[in-house]
Amino acid sequence: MNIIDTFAIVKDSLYSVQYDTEDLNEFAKCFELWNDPIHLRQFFEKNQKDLDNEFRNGITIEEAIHKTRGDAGLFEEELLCIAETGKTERYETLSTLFEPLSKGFIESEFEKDKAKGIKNRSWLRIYAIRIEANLFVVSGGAIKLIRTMNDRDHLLLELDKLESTRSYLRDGSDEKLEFVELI
Amino acid sequence: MSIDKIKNRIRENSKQDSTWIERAKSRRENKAWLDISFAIAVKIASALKANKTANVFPKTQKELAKAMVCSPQYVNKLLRGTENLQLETITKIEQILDINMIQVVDFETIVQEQPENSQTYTIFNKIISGGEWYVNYKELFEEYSYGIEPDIPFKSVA
Repeated sequence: MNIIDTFAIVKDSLYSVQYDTEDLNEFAKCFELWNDPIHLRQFFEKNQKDLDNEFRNGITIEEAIHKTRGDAGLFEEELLCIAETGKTERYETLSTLFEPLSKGFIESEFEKDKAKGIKNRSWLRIYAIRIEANLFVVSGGAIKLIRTMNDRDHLLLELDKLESTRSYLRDGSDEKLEFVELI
Repeated sequence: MSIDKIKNRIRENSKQDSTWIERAKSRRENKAWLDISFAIAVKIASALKANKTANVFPKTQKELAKAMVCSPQYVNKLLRGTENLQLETITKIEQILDINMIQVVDFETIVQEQPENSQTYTIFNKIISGGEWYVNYKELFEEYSYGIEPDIPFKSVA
């Protein structure tokens, strides 16, 4: 799995990588999948036990599918709006939406960041490397139903993609990721 | 490599995304019917799943295609929630899967009488301006006369 290109989602502020295994860049792919009821059903059926837990109040698969799509719509509007205003407004940049991947873990450069969906207790995540206040490069995105990223294959994959994107930006080439994407 | 060099490299070497922008625009412009299409897709998939559990026909996309006399590819399109469905298709699926998917609130024919200066009439949800085509009720009703008494009575709303 190698990065083959970067795409300007919003010129001068929001960029996204594309991997050789995918037809779309990661940002576009996320919103495509979050609007695809077939993909969402497969995902939630596979991860049903994470919906049944206390944290998610046993929401049904059908409810989860609708919640995801509704939140995705708001999320893409918000990301776009801030990416645009951030070009001219100093205090409303993508940095207001993105936060360090781990709470309090602020890095001086190439910080690994996440942006959360808009709805209350949203499980949507966009992962990105921060270049500066209003310049981010998206490495991927996921539906995160549990608290940590270390216990589910699709979230571990996102951690690897973050690392790969950071290497790509820092060195001009990415480390080859030798795994198969699971979702 | 310095941050400035990296910024320049990203800006100069990145291609402009067009896929997402176009699809996001389409999602926004067609939101009203896409919302319904998506909800229908979810409901069909749930019904197929329930049929599979109960071992009732149709329980797969292929079987649904057979029941609808259409291609499995078309059923797949329906299940993606991006198809602008015809009422005929919707009611056919409702019958096949024995589910309700859409409902028309207050299913009745209504003629609305507006204040004099802005006369508009609604017939089967078609808004007609009184000043444009119809000068009075007589003409209005003659245009839409049934020959026999309609089953659904007209309701006049002030």
